[in-house]
Amino acid sequence: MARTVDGRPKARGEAEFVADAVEQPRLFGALLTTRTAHCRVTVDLDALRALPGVVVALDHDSVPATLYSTNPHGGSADTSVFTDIGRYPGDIVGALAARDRRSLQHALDQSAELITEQPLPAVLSLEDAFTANAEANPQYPGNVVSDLRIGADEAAAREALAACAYQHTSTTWFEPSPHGCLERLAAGAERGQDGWRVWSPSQCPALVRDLLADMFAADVRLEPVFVGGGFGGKEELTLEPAAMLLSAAAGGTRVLLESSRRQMTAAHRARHGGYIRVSTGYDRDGIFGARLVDVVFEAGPYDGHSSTVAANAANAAARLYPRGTVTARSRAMATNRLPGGAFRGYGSIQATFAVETHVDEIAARLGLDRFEIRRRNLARAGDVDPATGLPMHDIDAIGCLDQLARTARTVIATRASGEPSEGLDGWGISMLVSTSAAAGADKPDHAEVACRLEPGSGTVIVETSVAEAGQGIYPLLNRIAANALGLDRDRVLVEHDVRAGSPNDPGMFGSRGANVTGSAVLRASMALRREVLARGARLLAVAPDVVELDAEWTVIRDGQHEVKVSELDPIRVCAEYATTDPGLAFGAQLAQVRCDPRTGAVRVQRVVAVHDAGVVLDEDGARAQVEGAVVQGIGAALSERATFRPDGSIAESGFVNHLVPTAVGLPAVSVSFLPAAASTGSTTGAKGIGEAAIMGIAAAIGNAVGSALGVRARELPITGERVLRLLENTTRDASRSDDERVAAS
Amino acid sequence: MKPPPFGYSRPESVADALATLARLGPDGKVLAGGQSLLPILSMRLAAPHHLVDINRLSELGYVRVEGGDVRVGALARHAQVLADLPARAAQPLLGKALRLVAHATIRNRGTTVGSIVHADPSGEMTAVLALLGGTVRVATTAGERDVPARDFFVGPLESAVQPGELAVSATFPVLPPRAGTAFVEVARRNGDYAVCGVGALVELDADGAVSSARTAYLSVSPTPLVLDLTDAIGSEPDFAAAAVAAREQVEPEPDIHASADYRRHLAGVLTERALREAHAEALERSGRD
Ligand SMILES: Cc1cc2nc3c(=O)[nH]c(=O)nc-3n(C[C@H](O)[C@H](O)[C@H](O)COP(=O)(O)OP(=O)(O)OC[C@H]3O[C@@H](n4cnc5c(N)ncnc54)[C@H](O)[C@@H]3O)c2cc1C
Repeated sequence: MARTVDGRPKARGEAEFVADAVEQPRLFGALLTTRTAHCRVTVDLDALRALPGVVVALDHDSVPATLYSTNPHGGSADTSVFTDIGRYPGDIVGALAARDRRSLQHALDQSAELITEQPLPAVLSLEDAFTANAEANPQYPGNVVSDLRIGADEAAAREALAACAYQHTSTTWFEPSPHGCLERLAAGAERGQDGWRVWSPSQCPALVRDLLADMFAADVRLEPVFVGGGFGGKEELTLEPAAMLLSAAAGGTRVLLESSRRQMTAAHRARHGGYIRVSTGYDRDGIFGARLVDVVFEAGPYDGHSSTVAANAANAAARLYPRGTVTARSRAMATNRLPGGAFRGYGSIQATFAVETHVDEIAARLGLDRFEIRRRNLARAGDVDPATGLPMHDIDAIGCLDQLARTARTVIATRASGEPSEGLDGWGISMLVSTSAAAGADKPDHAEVACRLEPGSGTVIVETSVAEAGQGIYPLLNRIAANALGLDRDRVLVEHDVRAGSPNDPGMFGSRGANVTGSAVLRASMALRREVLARGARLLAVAPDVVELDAEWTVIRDGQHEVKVSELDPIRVCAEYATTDPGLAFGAQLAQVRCDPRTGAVRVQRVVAVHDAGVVLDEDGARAQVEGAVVQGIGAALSERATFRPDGSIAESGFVNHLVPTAVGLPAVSVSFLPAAASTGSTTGAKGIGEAAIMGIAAAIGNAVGSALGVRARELPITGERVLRLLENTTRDASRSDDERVAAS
Repeated sequence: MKPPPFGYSRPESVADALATLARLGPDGKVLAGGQSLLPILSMRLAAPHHLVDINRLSELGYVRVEGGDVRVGALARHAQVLADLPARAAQPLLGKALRLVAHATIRNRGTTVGSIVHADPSGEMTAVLALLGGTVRVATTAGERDVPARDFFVGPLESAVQPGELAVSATFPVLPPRAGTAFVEVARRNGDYAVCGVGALVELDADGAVSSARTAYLSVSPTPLVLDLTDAIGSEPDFAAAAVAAREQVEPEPDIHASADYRRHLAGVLTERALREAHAEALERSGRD
C-alpha cells in the first residue's frame, strides 16, 4: 500500500490551509478587482484608508513599474502586480489590508464605489480578437499572443492533403472551464531582520522563491503549504507579490491575503476555451497521407501559460498520428475575458477531443472498425515526432490500443450495471499521448535532490523542493530510494526543503515527478550507497570494491574486519537528472455511456483506461492518478464550464453552479498498465501518468455519444441541451447527411 | 465564521420552542436540518437575528400512516421517510421523489417538512405535496392550523408559515385504489437540483379508463405548478397529447444551466414519461394489464 503523507490529515480535517499556516496574522488582505472588461482604473485610496479598520490600501502607483510574467517557468513580461488598466473583469488593480476580517469585508463591500472604471474598447470574443479594431492588450498587436508551427511546411501539407483520395475537416469548440481546487489561492508575507518569509500554496515553490527574491531584491524564505488541488491552478504567480507589497506598506508586518471562491471561479485562470480545426487526407483503406491541425485558444489579456498550452495542444494533436505529412499551428489570442492558464492536460484534453472525434468520423465514413483505423495510423517507434523532429522511441501506442481492444470485448458484451434508465447505450474510444518531462531540445527538464544518511538512527533522508499536494510523489520517492538503497521503507524519509541553496527542483507540473525527480532520487540513492561503502573502505583501509554492506545497513565488512554504519560521520550527497527527452507516453481509453435521446442526458457508465506508464513504480499511486483523472475528465466532458455574459464577465460564481463531478454516481473505472520494458538502471524508466489519464476521457465520451445516438458532439462540455439540439438538427438534415454518406463511400 | 452573527436557542420541547418563537417574533428563524438554511447563511444571503434549533424535539421525529394520510413530523429526516416501508407502501410517490432529493448525506440531515417550508420551486417534496393535495400543520402558542398545499406556497422560497410559527407536520394523502404515481427528472449532475422534474398521479375508473391525470413540475415556475391533464390525455390515454398540453402551459425561465426552450421541451418529455409510468402502475394496481 502506498503510504500517502496527506491522506490521514485530510480525512481528519487536520491538513493546514495557508490561512492556518500563517499563524495570527496582524493584517487580513484581499484583492481589489475590476468589473469592466477593459478600462482605465482609478482607486480612491484615501477613502479606502479612511474606512474603519483598514490599515493599507494599494494600487498601481504603489508597485514597481516593471512588468513580470505570472508563469513561473518564464514567459512574456506583461503583467503588473496591480494594474491601472483593467484588462478583464476581475483584473487585479490593488489590494487592501485590515486589522480583522470583519473590517476587511466591510471595506470590500464599499470598495466597488471607490474604484472608478473608464471603459475602453474591449475584445469580447475570439471572433472579436481576429476582426475587431480593438486591442485587448497593446503588447499583443492584432491580439496575437503567440503563433507557432511544428511539423511540415504548411504549403507542402496542403499539397499532400489535396493529393489524397479523400479529405475530411472538422472543427471542435471548447468553452473555458475554471479551476475547482479545494483550497482557494492565498498567500502570507512578513519581513524580518533576515529578509522575507512568504507562505505560498504554489506547485512550484522553488521557482516562486527565486522569482520573489528577484522581484523584491531580497532574501526570501518560502513556507510551502499544500492542502492540495493544484492541477495547474497554483502554477501562476499572482497573490504572493501582492501579499508582500501589503506587508511592506505596513512595515513588514505579517499579512494573510486570501482570494474568494468567486475570484477562483470567475476571475483566476481557466482551462482554455477556443477551437481546433483538423483536416486529414486519407485513402480508401483509411491510411492518413496528410494532416493539418490548427489550434486557436483564448489567452485572455495576458500570456501566462497560454502560448505554451496552445503549443502543447498542437504537439499532442500532431504526435498521435505522425505518419504522412503532418503540420500543426497553434495560436493564443488576446481578449478581455477570463485568462486561460495551466490546467491538468495542458491543452491535450481539447487536442485529443479534436483529433479522436475526427478519426471516428473518418472511420464511420469508410465503414472501418474504430480500433482498426487507429491501428493503421498510430505512431510507431522510429516515426519522426513532429514536435521535435526527432525519432520517437520506447513507445507502444498500438500495444495500448490492442490491450484496450481485448478488455473492450468483454466490457462491450456486458451491459453496464447501475440504475435502470431509459436510453441508448454506446461506447467510444480515444488514444492519447502525454509527456513525462517538461523538456524540449532547447530547454532540458532538470531536477536535483540530496540524500542524507543519519548514521545514529540509520535513517536516510531525501531532500527535495518538489511539492507534495496529494499527487503522491513522496511515497513514490520513498519507494524509489528504499529500493535503490536496499532499505526498509520506514528508514527512508522524504523531506521538503525549499531553502535558498537547497537542491533545486522546479516543482509539480508536466507529469514529470516519477521520471525526472524520481531519476534524480534514484541517482542520489545510488551515490549515497557508494559513498557509504567508500567511507567504510577508507576506515578499513581497503579498496571500496572489496567491502560490502549487510542487508540492514548496520555494518560494512571486508571479510575480516567491520565498521558500524552508526560510527560513520553524517553523509550527504547531491545528484541531479536532466533530460531533453519529452518521454512520450501513450494510452488508450474507453467510455461506455447511456444516452437519453429525448432529453439529451448523458451518463457515463464505465471507463476503461490502458496506459503505457513505463516502469510502474507505485501501482496504487498510479491507479489513483488514473481514477482521479477520469473523474476530472468527466467534469471536462459533461458539466464544467465558464459561461460568458455579454459584458465578458463569468456567470458561474462557485461550487453551486460550477459543476465539478461529485462522489455521487461515478462510473466504474478499470485501469491497467502495459507490461514495461526494463529501465536503463540510472533512471526510473517511469513515464508520466498524472496528465495522460485525463486526456482521452472527453474524447471517448464524445465518441460514445456518437455511437449511441449517431450524432457528433463537437463542443465541450457535452451538455444535455447540446446533445438534444444535435439530435434535432440531424432529424432536420437527415436527407443531406445521407447524401454525404453516399458521396463518401 | 462564514455566516453573519446570530443568536441561538435549542428548546427541549415543542411548547418550549413555540414560546421561544413567540417571544422572538420576526427575529426568530427555525433551524431544522440546516441543509438549506446554513448554506444561505454562509453565503450571507440572509441574516436572521436568532436561530431556534428544533433538533432536540424528538417528539416530532415520526412518520405515521393514520387514517387516509401519511403524516410526517417536522424532525423526520428525508432518509427516515425514505426508509419507512409502511409510509412508502401507503403513498409510493414519497419514495419515488425522495430518492431524487439531493444525495444520501444531505438526506441524512435535511428534513422533509423543512424542505416543504423552504418552498423551493426546485424541491421535489414541494411538488409532491402540491400534487397530492396534502396539508401542513402549523403551530403557535395560540394553537394549530392546517394549511392546504394550494395556499401554502406563496412565492419562490416563501411559504405560508409566519414569524412565530412552527410547522409541526405535513400530511400526504395515501394513494387511492386504481391509481399510480411516478417521479422523473433531469439534473445536470447526479444529486443536483433538477433542471426540470415531473411528478404524476393517474387514477382509473372501474372500467380502467383514466378518470384523473395530474402532474406537478420542478424548476419551471415560481411556486409548484400542478396541471390537470385529464382532458388532454383522454380516456384512451394519449400521453403525447398530454405532453403537448403541458409544454404549452409551463412558462420556464432561462438560467446558466438551461434555456427556457430546453426546460419547456423537458417538461413535455418528462410529462409523457411520468404519465406513462403512473398509468402502468395504476393498471397494475387495478389488477389488470
Ligand atoms: C448539495 C445540496 C443539494 C440539495 N439538493 C436538493 C434536491 O435535489 N431537492 C430538494 O428538494 N432539496 C435539495 N436540497 C435541500 C435539502 O432537501 C434541504 O434539506 C431542505 O430543503 C431543507 O430541509 P432542512 O431540514 O435542511 O431545513 P433547514 O435548512 O434547516 O431550513 C430551511 C428553511 O425552512 C425553515 N424551516 C425548516 N423547518 C421548519 C419548521 N419545522 N417550521 C418552520 N420553518 C422551518 C427554516 O427556517 C429555513 O428557512 C439540497 C441541499 C444541498 C445542500
